[in-house]
Amino acid sequence: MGTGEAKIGVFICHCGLNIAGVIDVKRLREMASKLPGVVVCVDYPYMCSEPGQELIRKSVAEHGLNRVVVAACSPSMHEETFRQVLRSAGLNPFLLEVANIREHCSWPHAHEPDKATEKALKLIEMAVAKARLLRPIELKEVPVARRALVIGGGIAGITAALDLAEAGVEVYLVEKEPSIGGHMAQLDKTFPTLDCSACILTPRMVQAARHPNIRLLTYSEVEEVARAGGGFEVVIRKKARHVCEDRCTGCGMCVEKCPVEVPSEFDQGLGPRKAIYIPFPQAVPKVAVIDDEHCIRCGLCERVCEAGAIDFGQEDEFLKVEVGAIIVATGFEVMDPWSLPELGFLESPNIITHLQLERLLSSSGPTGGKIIRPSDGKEPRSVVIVTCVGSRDERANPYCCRIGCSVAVKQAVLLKERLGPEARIYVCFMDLRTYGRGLEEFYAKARSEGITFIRGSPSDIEVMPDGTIKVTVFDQSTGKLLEISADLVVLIAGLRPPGDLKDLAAKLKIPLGPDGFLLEAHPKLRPSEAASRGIFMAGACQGPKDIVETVSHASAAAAKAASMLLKGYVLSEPFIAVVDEASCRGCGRCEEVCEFGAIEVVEEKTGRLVARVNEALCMGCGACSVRCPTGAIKVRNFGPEQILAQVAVASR
Amino acid sequence: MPGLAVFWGCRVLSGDVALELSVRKVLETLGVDITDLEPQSCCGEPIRSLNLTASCYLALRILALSASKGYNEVLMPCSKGYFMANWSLDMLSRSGELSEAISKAFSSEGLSLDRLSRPIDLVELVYRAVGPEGLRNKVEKPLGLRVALHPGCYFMRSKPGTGEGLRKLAELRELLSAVGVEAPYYPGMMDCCGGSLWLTRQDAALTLAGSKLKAASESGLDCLVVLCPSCFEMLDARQEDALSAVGEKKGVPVLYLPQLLGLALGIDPAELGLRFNRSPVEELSVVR
Amino acid sequence: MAMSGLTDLMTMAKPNEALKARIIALLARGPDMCLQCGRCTSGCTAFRLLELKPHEIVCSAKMGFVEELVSSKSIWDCALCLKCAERCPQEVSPYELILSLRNEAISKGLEIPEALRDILMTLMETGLAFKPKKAVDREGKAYGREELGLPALRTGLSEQALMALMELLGGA
Repeated sequence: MGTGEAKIGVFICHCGLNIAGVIDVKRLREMASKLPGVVVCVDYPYMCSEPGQELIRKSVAEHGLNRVVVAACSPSMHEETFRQVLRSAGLNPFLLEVANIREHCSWPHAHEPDKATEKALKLIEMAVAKARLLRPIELKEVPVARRALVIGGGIAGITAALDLAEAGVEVYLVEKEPSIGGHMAQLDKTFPTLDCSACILTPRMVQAARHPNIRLLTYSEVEEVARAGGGFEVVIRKKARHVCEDRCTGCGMCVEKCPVEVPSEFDQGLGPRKAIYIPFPQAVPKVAVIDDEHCIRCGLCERVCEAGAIDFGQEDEFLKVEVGAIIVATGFEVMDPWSLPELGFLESPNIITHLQLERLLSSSGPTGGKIIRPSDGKEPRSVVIVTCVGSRDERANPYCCRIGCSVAVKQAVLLKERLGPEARIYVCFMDLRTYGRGLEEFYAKARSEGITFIRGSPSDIEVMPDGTIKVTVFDQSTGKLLEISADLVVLIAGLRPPGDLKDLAAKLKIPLGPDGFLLEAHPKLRPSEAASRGIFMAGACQGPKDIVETVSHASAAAAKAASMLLKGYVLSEPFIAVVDEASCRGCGRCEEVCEFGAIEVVEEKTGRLVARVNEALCMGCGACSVRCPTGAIKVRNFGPEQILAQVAVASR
Repeated sequence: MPGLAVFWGCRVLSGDVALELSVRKVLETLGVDITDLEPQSCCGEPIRSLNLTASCYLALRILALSASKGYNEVLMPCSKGYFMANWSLDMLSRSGELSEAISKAFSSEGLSLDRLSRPIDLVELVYRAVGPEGLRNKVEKPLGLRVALHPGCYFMRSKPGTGEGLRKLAELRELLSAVGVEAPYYPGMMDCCGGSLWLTRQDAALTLAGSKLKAASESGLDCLVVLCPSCFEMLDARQEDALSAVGEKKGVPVLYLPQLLGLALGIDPAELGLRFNRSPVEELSVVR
Repeated sequence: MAMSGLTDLMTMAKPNEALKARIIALLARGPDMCLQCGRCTSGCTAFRLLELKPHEIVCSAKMGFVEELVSSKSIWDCALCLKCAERCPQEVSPYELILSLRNEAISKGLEIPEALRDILMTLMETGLAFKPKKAVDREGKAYGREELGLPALRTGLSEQALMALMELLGGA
C-alpha cells in the first residue's frame, strides 16, 4: 500500500440540482459510506466552492484520510481544483480519484433517477476500488529555455514577439515572406479611426527588427519540430534570397534594372513586380530577394549592385534552435471568390476582392492610391460592394468572416472620399453588423455621407460589352428589384486558414477545428493556448479577427507563454510510463511503438539492455505498456491492477 | 457486354431526332460503342410537380434497369434526364422513407437500389473517351467559330451548390477549343430559356426564350449552341414565337453541341440531322 | 387558455406546423435554415415576368404559413431553373419547396395544369411523358425512325412498373 491501510474519504457533490435533481444523494451517501475502506462519507451542495473545499480539508485532518474520492462533475472541470485541495491538506495530489456522476450519470440518465442512483453508487465503488491502489506521484521540474519561437510576422506575431522580448524572453520571429508585416501592411486605412495602417504598423515592425531580444528570420519556414526536455527542438529553413542581408542597402537599383516582370503577390495581382524585388517600400528588412522561379539569371542586378550583395550561389540554410514555447501566428488567406458558381463564369478585371481594393486605395499600391478601373484606368463613378461573398455560405465557408461588415463600411467611406460626392457607392448586405467601439458611429457616418445601403444579396452579375457591370439585387427594404450599373464591383471575400496551416499543425501535433483554423484549448476561457503544453496561438490562425482582437489575442498568448518561461521550468506529466527494470528484457518493442520518442532501450554498464523512459517527453498514452510482452511497463496510477480493480466492480 | 448504355428520353423519342442522329454519328466517329437501353421510359422530370417520390422512382428505375443489364454507366444526352438521375440519387440519401418506398416499388421487378448505374453526360463521355487532344487530332476542319454557348440550367446546375457546373463548363470549353470553337462569356449566357416554365406559363416561357435569343444576337457571336432538348425546343422549334414575344425579327442559328462537334469532325451535315433545325442554320458557312 | 403563437393580422391565418412538417419532409435542408438574405429572389428567373418571390415563399413556410402557399397561384410561376438552389448560401433549395407545395396542391385536388394532366395520361398509356412522334423537318416533311436509319426502340413501362407508379402516385 505504501502508506499503510487505506483510509478513504468519499465526498459527494450535489452540484446544485445538476446531480441532486436526479440522484438521491442522501441514499447514495448512506450506501457509499458502507464501502470497504471508506472512513467518512459526506455530501454537499457545491463541493468545488470554498466551504466545500474546506470540508474536504477538515475531513482529511479529522479522520487522517490518506485517499480521497470526489463524486461530482467531470474531472476535466475540477480535478485540478480538488488536487490543490489535497495538496493544501498535506496529501499528495495524485491520491485523488474523481467519480463522474454528472456527465456520465445524472445528465444522460435524467429520466431514470433510480437507475441513475444505482449507477452513481457503482461509479463511486469503482473509484474507491481504484483509490485504494493509487500511489503518490512526485512531479519533477523540467527546466525550460527562456526562449520562444513565434511563427508568423504579421501584427499578431510582431505583438507577441515584442511582448515576450520586453519581458526578457529571447524570441525567434520566423516569417515565410521576405518581409514581416503580414496583411496589415497591405491595408490602406483601418476602421474606425481611419488611421493609416502602415503608419501604425511600421514602427512596430522596426521595433521588432531592432529589439535586442528578437532574432528576425524572414523568408524562413519551420521545417521540423520535436519535443525535447521541457520544450522543443526546432529546425528552421532560411530560404536563399540570393542577396546578402548584411550587404544589401535596399537602394533598389537591382529592381529597376531587372528585365523580368511578374504579377505582384503583395499587390494581389493588380500590378507587377520584378524577379528581384523588395516587397513594399516599408519592408522590414529592407532587403531585396530573388524569386528563383522567374529569375532568368541574366546577371544585370549583380552588375549594378554597388554593395556587391547579390549571391546566386547562396543556398538554403538550416538553423536548429531550442525553445521553451511556440506561438503560432500564421494569420489567414482571402479566398478566391471565382470558385462560386454565380461568379466563376464571368470575365472582368473590374470585379475585385476587398484586399485588391486595399491595394488600389493604398498610396504604396500599383496606382499610387488612385481608384481606377483595372480594365481601362478610368475613375469609376459607380461602385458596388457586396458583403458575405463565400462567408456564412455552406458552399464555401459556413462561418462568418467577422471583419466583412466593418471593412465594407470602411471601404465605402474611403471610396466616397476619394471619388468625390458625385460618385455613387452601394453596399449590398445580408446583415450588417459593425460591432466594437466606435463602429456604430462609423456606420452612422457612412449613412450620413449618402452611401446607399441595400439589404439584399445579389445573385446575378453580368458584364456588358462596354465593360459596365450590372448587379441585380432584390432590396428587401423596398421590395424593389434593383439593377445597379457599376464601373467597379468589390467582393468582400471569405477568409480561410492559410493553405499550409494543415502541414504546420501536423508538425506541431496540434488539431484544427472543423473550419480549418487552429483549435484552442477552451473556446471561452483559453482562446490563445493549444491543448498541448507549450504551444500558443495568436491572431487569425485561431479564427478570423480584426486588428484590435488580434493584438489582444497575441498579447494574451505572450502572457501565457511568459508565465511558463519565466518560471524556468515545467512540471513533468504525472501519468507517464514507468519501467520495472527487473521485468524488462530490452526487446525494444516499446521503442518501436512510441510516437513521441519518449522511451528507448539503453545499454547499461553491465551490458544489459533495458528500456528507459524520458519523463519529459512521455505523454502517458500507454502504447508501450500495451506492447510490452512482459508487462514491465505500467502507466502511473493507470496500471493493470488499478484498471482491473475498477473492472471487477463494474462487472459485478 | 458491348458498349455503353444510352438513355435517350421522351423528348428525343417524340421527334427530336437531331440530337439522336448527331450523338450517334459523333460517337461512331470517335469510336465509342453505345447500346440503346430498352425499353426506354420517362425519367420522371415532367411529373416532379405532381409527385416528387414518383418522379424519383422513374429516374432511379432507369439506373437500376441499366445496372441489371450489366452496365456500370448510362449515357444521358438529355440534360434534364442527367439532372434527374443525379437529383434522385441525392434524394435517396436524404430520406430513409423514400429509400424504402422505392425499394418496395422496385421489388416487383427484381430491381435493387444497391445496383445502380452511374449517370454520365455527353461532355464527360467525350472528354474521357478522347479528350481535347484526341478530338483535336480527329478534326478535319477547325471550325473557326465564336459561338454563344447556352449550357443550360440543368447542365450547369446538375449538382447545385457543388461547383460541378463550373468544372463541366471548363471541360466543355476545352472540347470546343479543340475543334476550333471559342465560347466566350456574353451577358445572358446563364439565363434560363424557359423550358421548364412552358408547363405552367407559356407566355412567360416564350418571353424568356426570346430574351435568350436576343442576348445571343446582341453578343455578335456566330450562333447559339445548346445541349438539352428542352432548350432546343424553346430556342429552335419555337424560335418564331419566342422572337415575336420580345419584338425581335432577326433569327438566330441554333445548333446542338454534337451537331457542332460533328461538323468539325467532317461529318456530312445531312447525317447530323440539320434539316430538323428550324432556326436559320444555313446562315453558318460551315453548314452549307 | 390563451392561444399562443403567431397570427397573420392581414388574413387572421395561423401557422399549420403539421402540414409544414409533411411538406418539408423530403427536402435536404428545409426552410428553417433560411438566412433571409433574399439572394434567391435577386436572381429568380420568374421574378421579373411573374413577380415570384422565392424568399417570401421560403420564409412563409418557415413560419408555418403553408396553407396559403398551397392554394396560391405563385407556386406555379416557378421556372424550375435551379438558380436559387445553386446560389443559396444555406443550401435551402426554394424550388424544391415549391415543387413539394405543388405536390400538396394537386393531392388536395386544388389545381392541376392541363399540360401536366396530359403528360400524366400519356405516361400511363405509353410509359413516356410525350407521345412518340415522327420527326418533322423544316420543310414540314415527316420522317419515321427507319427512314433516318435509326433503330426501332422499345418504349414503355412494364406492368409492374405501372402498378408501382400508380401506388406511389395514389399514396401521396
